[in-house]
Amino acid sequence: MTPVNVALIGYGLAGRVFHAPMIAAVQGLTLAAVVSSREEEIRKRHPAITVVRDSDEVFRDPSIALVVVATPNDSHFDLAARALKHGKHVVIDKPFALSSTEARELIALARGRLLSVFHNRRWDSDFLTLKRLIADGTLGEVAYLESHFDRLRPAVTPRWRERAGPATGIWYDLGSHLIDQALQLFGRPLAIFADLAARRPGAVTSDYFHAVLRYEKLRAVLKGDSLARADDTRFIVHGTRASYIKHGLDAQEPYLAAGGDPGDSEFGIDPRPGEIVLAGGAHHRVAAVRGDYRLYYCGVRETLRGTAPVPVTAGEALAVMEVLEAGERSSRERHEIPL
Amino acid sequence: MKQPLNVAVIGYGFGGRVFHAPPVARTEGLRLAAIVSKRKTEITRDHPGVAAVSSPEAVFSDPTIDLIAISTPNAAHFPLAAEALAHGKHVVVDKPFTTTVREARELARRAEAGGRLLTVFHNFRWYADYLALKKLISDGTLGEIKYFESHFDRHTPEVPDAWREKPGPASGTWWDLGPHLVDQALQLFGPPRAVKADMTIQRQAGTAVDFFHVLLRYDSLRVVLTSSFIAPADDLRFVVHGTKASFIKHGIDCRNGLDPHPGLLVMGDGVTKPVAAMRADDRSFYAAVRDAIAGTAPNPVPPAEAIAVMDLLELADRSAAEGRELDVP
Repeated sequence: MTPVNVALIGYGLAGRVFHAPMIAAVQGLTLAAVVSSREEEIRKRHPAITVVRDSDEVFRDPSIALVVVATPNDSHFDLAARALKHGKHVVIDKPFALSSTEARELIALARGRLLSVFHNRRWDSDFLTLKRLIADGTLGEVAYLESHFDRLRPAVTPRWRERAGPATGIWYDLGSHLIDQALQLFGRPLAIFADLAARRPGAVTSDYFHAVLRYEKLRAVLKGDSLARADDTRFIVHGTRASYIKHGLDAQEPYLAAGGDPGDSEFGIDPRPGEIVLAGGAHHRVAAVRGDYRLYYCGVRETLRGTAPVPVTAGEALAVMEVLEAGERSSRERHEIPL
Repeated sequence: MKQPLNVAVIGYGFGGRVFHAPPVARTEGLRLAAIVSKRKTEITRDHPGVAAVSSPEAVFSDPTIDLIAISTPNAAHFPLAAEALAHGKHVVVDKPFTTTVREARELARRAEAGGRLLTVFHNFRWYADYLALKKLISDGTLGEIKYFESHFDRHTPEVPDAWREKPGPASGTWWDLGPHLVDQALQLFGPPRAVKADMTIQRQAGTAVDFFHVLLRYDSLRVVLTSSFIAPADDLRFVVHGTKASFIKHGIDCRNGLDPHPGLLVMGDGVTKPVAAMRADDRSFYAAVRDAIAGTAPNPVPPAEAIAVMDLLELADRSAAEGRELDVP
């Protein structure tokens, strides 16, 4: 089968750590071109790849079937729209766009082309494990989920993620992962209350969020904190039969950031798989499901071949945008926003 | 030596049996003189020699009784405390103080007018976990506190047949356990700017609030008070993030003796250090009450502090009902 030629736009953290290595690792996809000014860096890792400065070159190139947009959030819409207009399939890094309005416009432009968002944390080891623990009844009926993305970063950096503006800050950057996971597990909540704050000296966009997704009885609390010294708790999930307590973030990102190969035998194995706690305190280590971000791009490949549904539909990613916006509005207006 | 103060405990449910009668009986300078309850057999078994009486009138009108501790269902706190004060008794009321702020203010006014001691049993202030936290904050170990999460979780998926679990004013877990968590937060950080509360009934057979998740917003600090009754892993107590270190504490009941789970400090580089275990003494509250009545120490929980707790309990109820964050006046 002819491989699909992929062009990646952007070679910052997302392009370098996630997209380029994943695309390169998936059979049937060929990383053909990267749009970036970091030519040298790219050639070192991917010697055979064409590096261009202008995204128009890849839009005009008829051999490119799929364009991956991994740029700062404020250019997602423009680049994705142009790619779609040139008949390309499009993958966008999260968050989808700056607003649900932009996201809807892109969906309208897609018309038969693949349009998907890289919600890669559906393939985290701990999330896959949690999904299994819910599906196989280990936890019973879930009453409470607490999902964290905490880090200790007391100093504000000049990175684009920390600048002021629409769809910036930790809520859009990391909140989008936690929202997507919650929606995958429990569907659309009835309402959201969120407290977004900029708490570090010099912070101009959110560096803290505490969002409560209200369901009928269940509550999902999503938390992100840049001042959490014990940046450790990932999931606290209480069910009627057992709790799942998980510490430490999925190991794939640091593994890839350190230059590790997704083909390595230890890739995706979480060194801290978490615990099941039964009533009365008995606890045991979980047999964790292996994480694998390559599965996202395998899914994209299968979709393009017509053999599987899109791994993250544009509709699902739009729902994440709507919750992000509702959370922002809730924090501004200081009340729950029904969804 | 001075005569001990004669104490009568009204109510011999969980609170009277566990939290009031035993420490009163063991506190020097106090004498457990009478317990008002229908549970005479239990009282005679637990406290031989202590009068078990059926009616609170008997202790109100007994001139030898100096102090009355009220540990009844919440709705009876106000009428019993008012009656005790009217008879010139000193009064300890179990938390929550009353069922409304208005009642609490009224009791405070009457105690003040009568020159009697009125105090509320916010005994969590003397728990080992809280003493450890207070020390870590005051000695600068944690630095400036940016985040404080305080839990009281339990796994009781079946709803017990107890008055605490029945609907009504000031019922449910927010009014039962919330007062402890609110009082501690106020003691540590003072009044917040605003409160947003979420309360619900999670258990199938539940009829009163059995889950709360309450956010207290300060300038930069955030405080989260939370309680769940569906929580097999129910022992997380504190998560505290400061600018110098975090404090993670497990283990819920630390009211007497050396804390078996003193918790962990997490430093900036991820290095963890054990925390020196604190010792709690469940007589501390009553010893302080004794000294306050003797005039040698201040009231351990002045009515104004307990009223501030009531204010926040009510405000949070309203926030939950209206689904919005409310400013603390």
